Order: sequence, then C-alpha cells, then structure tokens
Amino acid sequence: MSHAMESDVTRSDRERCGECVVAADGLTKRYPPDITAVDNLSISVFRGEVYGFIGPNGAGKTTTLRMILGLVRPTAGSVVVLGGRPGSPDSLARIGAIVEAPAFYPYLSGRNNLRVLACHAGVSEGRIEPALVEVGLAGRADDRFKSYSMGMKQRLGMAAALLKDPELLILDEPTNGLDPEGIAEMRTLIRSLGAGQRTVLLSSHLMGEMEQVCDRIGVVRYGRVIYEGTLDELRGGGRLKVRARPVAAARELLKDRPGGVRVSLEGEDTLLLEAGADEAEGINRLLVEAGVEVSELCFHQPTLEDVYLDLIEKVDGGS
Amino acid sequence: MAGIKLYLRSVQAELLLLRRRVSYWIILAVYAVTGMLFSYVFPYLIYRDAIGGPEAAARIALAILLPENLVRYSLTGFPFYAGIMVFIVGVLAVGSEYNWGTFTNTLVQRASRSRIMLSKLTALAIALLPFVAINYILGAGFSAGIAMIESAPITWPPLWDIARALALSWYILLLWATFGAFLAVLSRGTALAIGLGIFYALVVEGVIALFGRQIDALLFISRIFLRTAGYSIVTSLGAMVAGEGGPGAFEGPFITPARAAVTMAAYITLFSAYVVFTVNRRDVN
Ligand SMILES: Nc1ncnc2c1ncn2[C@@H]1O[C@H](COP(=O)(O)OP(=O)(O)OP(=O)(O)O)[C@@H](O)[C@H]1O
Ligand SMILES: [Mg+2]
Repeated sequence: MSHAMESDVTRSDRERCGECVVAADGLTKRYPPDITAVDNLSISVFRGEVYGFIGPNGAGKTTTLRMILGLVRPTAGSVVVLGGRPGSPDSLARIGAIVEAPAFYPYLSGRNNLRVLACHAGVSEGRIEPALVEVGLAGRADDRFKSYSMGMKQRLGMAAALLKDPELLILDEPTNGLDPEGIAEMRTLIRSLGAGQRTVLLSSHLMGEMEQVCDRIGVVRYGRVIYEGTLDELRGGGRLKVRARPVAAARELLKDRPGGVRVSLEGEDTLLLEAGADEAEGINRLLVEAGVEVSELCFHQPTLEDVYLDLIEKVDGGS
Repeated sequence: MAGIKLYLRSVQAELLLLRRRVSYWIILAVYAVTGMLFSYVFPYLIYRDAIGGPEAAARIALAILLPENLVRYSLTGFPFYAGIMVFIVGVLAVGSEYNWGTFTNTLVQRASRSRIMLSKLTALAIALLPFVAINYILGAGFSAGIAMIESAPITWPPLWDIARALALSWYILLLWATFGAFLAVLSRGTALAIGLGIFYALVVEGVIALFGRQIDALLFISRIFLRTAGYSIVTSLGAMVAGEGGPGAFEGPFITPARAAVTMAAYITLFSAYVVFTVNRRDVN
C-alpha cells in the first residue's frame, strides 16, 4: 500500500517536471554595490502555455529573462530551461527570444541581419522569408535596419525569434512601439503560436494585452514574485454593482441574504457585492419585493489592471 | 564534423558582417591610396626632383622603387603603417557589438560564445588578406610603371620570397588586428579602444624606444613591443627598415626574427584567449 503510493508520487512528480519548460528556483541577481535586481525568484512555466511576466519598471523582468537565456549568470539560485542549463547550445537551439530593445546591425538590411542569426543558429536560410512574411516585414526586408521605424525594428526582432521555429519563445515587451494594428497582429500571432505545444514566456506592461493572451501570469515586484497563477484565480469571482434607493435598506437586505456575500458601499447609492452574474436575477427580485427601487444592476469583472494595481498597492503597503 | 560545419557557418556570418561594412572598405581604400602615395608616388617625384629639392632627391635611390626590390620595400609598411589600419578594423569588428548591444541577440542563437568569438577572429584574419594583397598588387604596378619610365629592367623577386613576404605581412597584421579585438573587449566598445591603441602605438612605444637607447630597463621593455617584433621579423627577408625617413623607418632595437616570431605568436594567442575567455565569463547586459 505505502509502496504503491510512493511510486504514484514519483510518477506525478516526473510528469510535472516533464511539462515544466522553465523552472526557476530561488533565482537571485545582485549588482554591486547594493542593487538586488532579482531576489529569490521562483517561477514555473509549463509546456504549451502563454505565461505573462508582469511587474513595474525595474522589477527585474528583463534580468530574469536574461538569466533564463544564460546571458546573465545568477548570483544564487538556479534555473532549468527545456531540461538543460540556461545558455547551453542545446537549450538555445530550441528558444527564440527578444530581450529588451531589438538590437541588430544598423548597416545591414533586415534580411541580412536574419542571415547572420540563421548562420549562428545553424538553421536553413530558407526560414528567413517565411519569418519576414509572418511579421509583415517582407516588403522592407532589404532596407537597412537603421532606416526602420521603431515598430519595424520590433517586428524584425519577432522574425528573429521565430527563425528557429522554437519550442519556447521568450518575448520581452514585444509590443513596445507597435501601432494598434501591430499590437492586434502581435496578439493574434502570440495566440496562434501559443495554441499548440509551443510555450510563450511574455513580459509586458500592457495589462489589456496580457489579459487577452496569457494563460497564467507571474507578478514581480522588487525582484520577488508576489503572485503566480491563472488570471481567474487572481481576479476572483467578480462583483455585482447595484444602484438602489434607499441604499441603507438594500444593504441590510443583502447582508442578511443566505450565502452571505460581502457588501460594500461605493458612492452615494451604489453597492458592490461579491457575487456571480447568475445571482443578479435573484438579488433584483429580493430588493424589488422589499420595496427598494433598483435603478442599475450590472456584473462587473475587475480587469487585470485593477487587480494588478490592487496587488502592487497591497505589497507596498505591507512592506 | 557537424561542429565544424556550424563553425564554418558562423565564420560565414562574421564575414558577411565585415564585407557589408562600409568602414572596412574605407579603411582599405585609405590604406591603399596613402600607402602608394608615400611609398612610390612621393619618393619617385622627389627622385625626379619634381618636389623636395636636389638634396632630398640625392637621398633617394631609384633601386628601391624598382620591381626587383618589391618584397624588401613593401614589407617595411606592415609593422606599423598597415598595422595601425587593421588595428582599427579589429576594434570595429569586435567593439561595435558592444556599442549596438548585438551580443544580446547573437549569443542566444545556438553557437556557444567561444564559437562565436573564434569565428569572429577567424573572419577578421581572413579580412586581412585584402590588405596584404592590395599592397603587393599596387606595389607591383607602381614599381613596374616606374621601371618602364626609367627604362630600367623589370625583374621580379623570387616567387618563394614573394610567398614568404605575403605570409609574414599577414602574420604581422594578425598581431595588430587581435590587439584591436583585445582592446575592444577590454574597454567594451570602440572609442576608448581606438584611443588607447593609438596612444600606445604612437606615444608609449615611440617614447620608450627613444629613451630606451639611454636607459637599459626601458630597452628591455622596448624589446617586447609590437613594433619591435614586426620590424625585426621583416628583416629576415632583407626589408630595408633601418633607413632614414619615410613610413618604414625604425630605429630599433631589433631582436632576432625567430624571437620576433615567437613574441608575435605569444601576443596573438594571449589577445585571442583574452577575447574568448572574457566574453565567455562576462554577463551580457
Ligand atoms: N547591468 C546592471 N547593473 C546594475 N543594475 C542593473 C543592471 N541591470 C539591471 N539592473 C537593475 O536591476 C533592476 C531590474 O532591472 P530590469 O531591467 O530587470 O527591470 P525590468 O523589470 O525589466 O524593468 P522595465 O519594465 O523597465 O523593463 C533595476 O533596478 C536595474 O536598475
Ligand atoms: Mg525590461
């Protein structure tokens, strides 16, 4: 009996590890004299998901991504990338990355820049054209990189990341400098890339974007992870907003309701209660039958931005 | 086998970077034009007393400008003049990666950092060949032209001497180019590296060699200078370096060509190893 249980545990551990594309454990990076860019950070990115890495400026996102790519060596802690050491040729061969601003040779055309990278990556030059088409840069591919607009540079960065047809995409603020159309295209691209077995690790400040593409997120602040999980877990259940008169009577009624949902007053005649959209009907009936006038009743799901700002505030208040 | 193929592709990438770079061709062109002006055009005009006056004209022997002395004469331009030019090429090839932040991109492809730096140095070594070739090709043209104007015989140096001269010239340039790569990695950029290199070559080596004639300790130091090694090794092919004036003049000290060859090999190894190991070790930010 105990023997069987033990082997079960071992198997599920192994399965979990097999799924884990990036496993960072206690990653720490200190810069002399006294900057701790990343502080005992642990995250897990699973195969096939789009993982959003969110945090304020200077939180340590880029530094973490550089450590995952083996560009920067951690002061302490470790990270396993695709089952290997970060920066090893084996893991790099399966990763496509954009880190910070796209850095290319200014005097070379976009196409030649990709040729250089394809050579170092050991991939066929035949992959260059499809990558250029994919990011919508084929028409300007023979112009020099330095003549590109910011959004075009970013697109070239994305093309470079796609060259290896990678299992894992690491994208540091890929929408930086893109126009709304470009952002929408990038969103579609990331979604389609993340649809199969490919894994995307994405950092961004654009909460609206992250909300639309990410399966799970990790929030960092001062180099530490303050939240990791799915968006729904972070957002919670959502709230019902009720505008009613007299508001005090409504509040009494809702407070005593079976199931006991939390009620708070917002504004002069508006209540916010933690309840799902499916409860709106019942609540409406309850109030109206008790003679309370209901002038507005709507379901309100907090955006990622709301909960993110709340979270940051909470952490800052706590420290 | 697969490793060699990947390495060759990286070399191919690094050659593309140099080939498409305008500054590389500008340096090569400036080197070719000024080199010919200083070694053939001006000396010949002085010899014909067209410029410089009769006293200067008397100091120039026509013989050095003729094809039979092509090797001995051309070699004198490499230890310093051509050296400084390709030093700049070496700095640009490596230091610009820091200026542009491109290491972030190239070092996450697949090739190891060692492989990328070795392929960069290999490409640099190949990019030195045009500097060697153009000097001898143009030199042959100018010397043959002068011989025809002067109705002097056109006899070329033995083929074996030419081959050895080409190899030696390339070897000297390799020393300077790796010196440039070394300073570029050391200073993580181009501007300071070029400043330091020129300061070293012109001021440090020049001044210490000058004082070295009086102070023994300085003489010892000047025996391990880059220029000393370069000028000493070309004497093995009878290069006319100890002469007066012109870009090829060097006052010594001289060491034996064998010792010079070893000194240069040591420097080239040291500079290359520093480049590879340091890029391996450092964080890429
Ligand atoms: N090379 C370095 N030397 C010293 N400090 C550094 C270095 N690189 C990063 N830092 C510091 O580490 C911290 C984290 O920087 P990082 O670039 O990782 O932040 P980020 O989360 O990517 O920010 P942003 O959203 O602005 O891109 C910052 O305080 C930064 O100043
Ligand atoms: Mg960043």
